[in-house]
Amino acid sequence: MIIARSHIILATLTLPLVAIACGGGSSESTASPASSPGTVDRISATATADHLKRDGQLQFLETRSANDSLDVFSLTSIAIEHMQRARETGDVSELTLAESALKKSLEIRTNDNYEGVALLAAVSVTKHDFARGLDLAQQAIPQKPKEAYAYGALGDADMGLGRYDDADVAFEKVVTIQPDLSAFGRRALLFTVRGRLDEAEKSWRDAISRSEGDGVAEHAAWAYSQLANLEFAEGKIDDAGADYQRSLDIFPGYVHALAGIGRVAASKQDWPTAIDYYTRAINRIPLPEYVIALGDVYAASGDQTRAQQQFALIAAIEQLYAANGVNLDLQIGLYNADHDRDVASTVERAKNAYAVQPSVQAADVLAWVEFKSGDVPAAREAIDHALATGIQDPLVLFHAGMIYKVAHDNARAKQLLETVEQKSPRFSVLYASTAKQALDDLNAHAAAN
Amino acid sequence: MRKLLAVLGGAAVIGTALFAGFGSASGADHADAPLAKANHALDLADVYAFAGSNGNVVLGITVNGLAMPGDQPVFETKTQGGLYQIKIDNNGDAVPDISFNITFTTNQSDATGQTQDVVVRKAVGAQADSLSDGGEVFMEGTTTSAGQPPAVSHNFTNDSLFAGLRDDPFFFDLDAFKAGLKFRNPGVNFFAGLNVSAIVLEVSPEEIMGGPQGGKGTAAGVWAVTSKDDSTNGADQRQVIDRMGRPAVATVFIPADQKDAFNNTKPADDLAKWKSTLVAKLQSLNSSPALADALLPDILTFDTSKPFGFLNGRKLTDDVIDAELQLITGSPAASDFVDNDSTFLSVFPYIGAPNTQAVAAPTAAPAPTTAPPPVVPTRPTGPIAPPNTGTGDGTSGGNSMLVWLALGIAGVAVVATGGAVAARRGR
Repeated sequence: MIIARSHIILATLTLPLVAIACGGGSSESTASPASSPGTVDRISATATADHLKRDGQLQFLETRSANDSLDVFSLTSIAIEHMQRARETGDVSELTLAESALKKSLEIRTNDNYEGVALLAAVSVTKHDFARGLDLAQQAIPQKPKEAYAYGALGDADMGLGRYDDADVAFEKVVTIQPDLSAFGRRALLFTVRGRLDEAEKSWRDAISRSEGDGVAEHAAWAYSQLANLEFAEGKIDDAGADYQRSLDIFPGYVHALAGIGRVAASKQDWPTAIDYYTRAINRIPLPEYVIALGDVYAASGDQTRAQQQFALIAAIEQLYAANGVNLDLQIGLYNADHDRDVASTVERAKNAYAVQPSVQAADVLAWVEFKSGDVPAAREAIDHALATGIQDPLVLFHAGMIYKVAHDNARAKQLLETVEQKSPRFSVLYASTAKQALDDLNAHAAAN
Repeated sequence: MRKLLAVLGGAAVIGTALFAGFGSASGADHADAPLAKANHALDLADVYAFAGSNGNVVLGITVNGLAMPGDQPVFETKTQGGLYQIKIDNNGDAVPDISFNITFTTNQSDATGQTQDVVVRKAVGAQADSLSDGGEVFMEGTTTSAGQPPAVSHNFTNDSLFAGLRDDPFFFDLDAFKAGLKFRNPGVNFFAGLNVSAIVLEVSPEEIMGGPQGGKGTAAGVWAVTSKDDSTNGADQRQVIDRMGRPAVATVFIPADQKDAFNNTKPADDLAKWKSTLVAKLQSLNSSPALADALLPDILTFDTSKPFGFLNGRKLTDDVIDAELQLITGSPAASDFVDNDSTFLSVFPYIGAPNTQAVAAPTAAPAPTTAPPPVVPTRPTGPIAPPNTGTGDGTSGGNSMLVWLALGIAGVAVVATGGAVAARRGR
């Protein structure tokens, strides 16, 4: 058994920060109804101390780096800290800082810089440049074939590129080498894409059990939020709500937990609570999916003015992401299709995205965009690609049901929409009623015949 | 933020949830979870043996290197299967006659922060030559959390124990080395400002020299072994994680893919199993094959009747990198131009207080040299930072710092033929 020495780190980054407006770093005291005030105070105090420590360590590393032009360790460590901050705050400019540090480290040490290459692979994947991530991961692995990290980045890139069998191989390697939170989380995501939801849920629980005591509160919070996402999709709304709350208790102010609680409230048409939590989430960091969700909730509650105010932010957010090299083709494509915006140009964008990264998600977005554009055969071809892995995501099944319905494959459409209705009738603020209506239509049509 | 690779990047956050339900499972996120921090708590950094007060002997080991200001000491717990052993051979047969077996409880919070209870047991005879944590209780104490004064424990014979965070006493211009032996004058101590978790014992000579095996009186050898009983691996047996005697020696000469096998070899078997490996490496370095008999077994030997200092034990201030550079090159001038920059204590536990803030300015330069630093032939750059002199690099593929060190030194030696090696230490 080996204790791998993976040291990493650093960089002196004075890159212009493209700040996404909003208070990223502070530790908001998000009192959780489920926790006693004492617990929350203690957790918040711990989080504050952790922030202070990390700020000090980042400064320590930057000083080291400034004092030694050969110091790769500090640059790698700095990159890791910025990557973690990107996770925690969603601030994409942190990725730019991380990438800058890594590039500097690779300038200092071109060869045998596993950490530099492997971390850059991870940053690339995070920016949705999966081809580059794949290439970099493949460069890193031969340097340290017994380290798990680059296999993880490789599998992530495979996932983004729709190469699920390859991802499976890479993730199993990760699980074998280092069976930790990350390993089981990745396995869970692959199970999810393949519709193996019981196994996915078990993997999340394995991941959570391994996150205890790893010293980074966000890790366990992330895993709980992911588990909650899965439970929500399975229609276990109350379980999802409880796990989002656990996530929030572990990491106060956690964006994904706040938004998740908003999502649960929205599914119950509790608009005030949904608006409150989504607003808190985007006040921390305006991640596009949550800005869109808040707009959709405002619209569903009848407040079109505020809905449009949210939607108006999307273009600016996309520009900001683009400025930091983050590709949002799929996200914006889905948003445009859902809101009937720029459909013609969105078709081209979705086609290009699918060509570059033929994942289930890209196929689903392309299918939905084609559906909106009225090209039923193209939509059907794309949705068949999306369904090929066995994915059980209710939104994909809904898309498929609607496409098969307009394609007059009523039996298939009925089967798909029945699955959605039976398992996750509250899957979407936008489409829950649409799905039910479509199924009713199909049933009426069947009865009439 | 220490064990870097530990932290996975942030796809999860950045991505946009495509699917209502699957949130981050969407293509955007395919979310890599952060890798849990790797556990380096059993990774040996260094082993020290030097004179304490009143004729006592100080035995120190450091683990979990690269800790930054703000990090806490980390010791693997007994519950997790962790065991630290300091082995003593006092009759020259390379078989341990005494083993100090050190275990830690899980973290507990008290007024001073997070601490662990420590138990040191002393095993003798056959029990000393095992991976057992048994033996008579020799000393008990508590770890010192960061920011607290050293908690020193004593037993009834007034031996001393400390376990906690300390300034890493090791010094080396690792970055210059890895940049292709581009040593600078002055160099930069990579370990400046970084901390380690240290276990320090100070014992009377009778505790280690006496004993049932009949010691030779003043001479002994020490090495450290860390092991883990990882029942989750299915194998209900203890595995050696790391072993170390002299700084760097094992790491230089043992190929990466054989490190596990080496770590699992007992020193008494070192010559039989590893001499040919060392001879081959020495020959490839144009060094004397006879050195193999001096380097093996991998035990840090010392004689209390003589002044301590590497190679007689190892003091905190010993410049082992220069010593090894000089040993391998045969040049008394070889150096990385980095000197000790730590402030040590005159009393137990001797190792300096942990760093609490940003690294100090680079160490003061030695007097200027009259010759330029050694020019090393072009060669691949060094490995990723095994920041220690131990063998903790494990089997992570050919990245042993010391292999590079040795290769680099060989390069220096070639260049230096004819006595022109440059690097004068100038002091």
